[in-house]
Amino acid sequence: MDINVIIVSLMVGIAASILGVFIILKRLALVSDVLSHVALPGMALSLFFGVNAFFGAFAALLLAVVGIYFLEKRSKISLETIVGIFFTMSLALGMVFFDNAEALAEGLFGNIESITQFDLYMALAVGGFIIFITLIFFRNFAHTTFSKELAQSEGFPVKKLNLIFLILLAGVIALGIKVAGTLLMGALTILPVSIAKNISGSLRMMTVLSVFFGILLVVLGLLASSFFQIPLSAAIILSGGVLFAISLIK
Amino acid sequence: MSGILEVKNLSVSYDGTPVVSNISFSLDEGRSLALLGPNGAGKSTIFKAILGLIAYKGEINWIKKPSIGFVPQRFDFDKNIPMTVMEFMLLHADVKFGFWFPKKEILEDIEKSLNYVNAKKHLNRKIGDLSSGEFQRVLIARALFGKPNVMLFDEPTADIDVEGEMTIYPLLKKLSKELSFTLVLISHDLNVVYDFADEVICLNKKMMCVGAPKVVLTPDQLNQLYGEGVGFYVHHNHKL
Repeated sequence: MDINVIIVSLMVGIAASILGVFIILKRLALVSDVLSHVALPGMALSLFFGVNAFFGAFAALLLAVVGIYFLEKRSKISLETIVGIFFTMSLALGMVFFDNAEALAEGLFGNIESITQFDLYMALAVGGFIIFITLIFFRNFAHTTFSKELAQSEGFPVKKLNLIFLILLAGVIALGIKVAGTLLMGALTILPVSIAKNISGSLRMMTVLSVFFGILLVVLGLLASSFFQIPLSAAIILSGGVLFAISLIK
Repeated sequence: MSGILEVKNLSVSYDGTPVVSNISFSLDEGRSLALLGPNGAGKSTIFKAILGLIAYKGEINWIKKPSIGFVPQRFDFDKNIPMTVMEFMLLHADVKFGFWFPKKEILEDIEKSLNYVNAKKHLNRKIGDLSSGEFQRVLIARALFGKPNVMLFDEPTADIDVEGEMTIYPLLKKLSKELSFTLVLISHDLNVVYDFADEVICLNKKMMCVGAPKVVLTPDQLNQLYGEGVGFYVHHNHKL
């Protein structure tokens, strides 16, 4: 298997699993899942303009998360409603934009064949950046998500931190679209931490285990994908599903 | 005794509807002030304004720089999140660094704060596993950790186990003397106000009374505040 694919997948697994801690803390599991669909029309546009899919996906996701941020602040529509309506619409829009079924399938399910040397650099730079920023803001994110009011009373800039988190989320989903596809990338942000949560006694342990499972799912996925000749995205997510089921056993 | 806080003509509206209007009071250092009033009277809103969490009209002037310890009434969180009491304490704004590898002094300070409220035994328990009374003690310990000179304590409306309810006020009063902080508490319980507050502000959207509880909480005043039939049933079984 191509070394680029292995490194890109691992970076995606690590970045997604560390940021995933806050997706679960914020109870945004389904939001993250559906949010990843927004990447699809962006990918179609980058194909049209001949640029790397990451940029189109990230632009579309960034637009979406900034939209969420302001809509949530200024309107009374619940986040679930915004996500339910607008983001599934972008899935539909993506389907319209893609002019052939093969490209659409690539966007939806990921395609490791399309991972290039440039994607490797992007994964190292963007993935490294996301991991770094998440660690820097870890305590702030944890506090503002666990108890917004208490954090506000102690002077934490809750809204700004929320925006930073959403931008990181957009970054990690965009990073993972070639590995997991827009349909399954959301699952990669929540599976490792969900497994870790079931067996952890503290937040610190949950975070460390989440990263461990993020790596493990990618390794298992890579092995299963090459052994059973199945798509990597499906192999990763299915491995995650099996581990999640095991983690439920007490 | 010197003043620490002065509030002048404080008014707050949500979406154009006034929640509290023209509240004015001042607070001396080391005293305990209770905000008393029925549900929806605007007590928590005044706290939020004091904490700077919401927009308001009027003035809130701190005469002395405050270090506020805030004990919220309650907040919703996912009880399955495996966050320990220790980690919850480490999230405090005063820790800044060292969430992952806290310094020994920080750990000692955390233990000390928990000791004040007899909650050190909960240090490594998950927050979600605590009873509401235990959690409230942890919240107080957390507020104490910041070495406050003003403590804002929002009383839970329900949910607190009897053991917690019976002991928290004498404890707060004792700590306010020991650690020299000014106590502002929101209460629904007339007995609590009567026993533990030096001053009381009666609220129902606007100020209805202010002064020493024994002086201003007259039957007439209480009737105005809560409606007919509310009076004192003082009990003296608060033990530490």
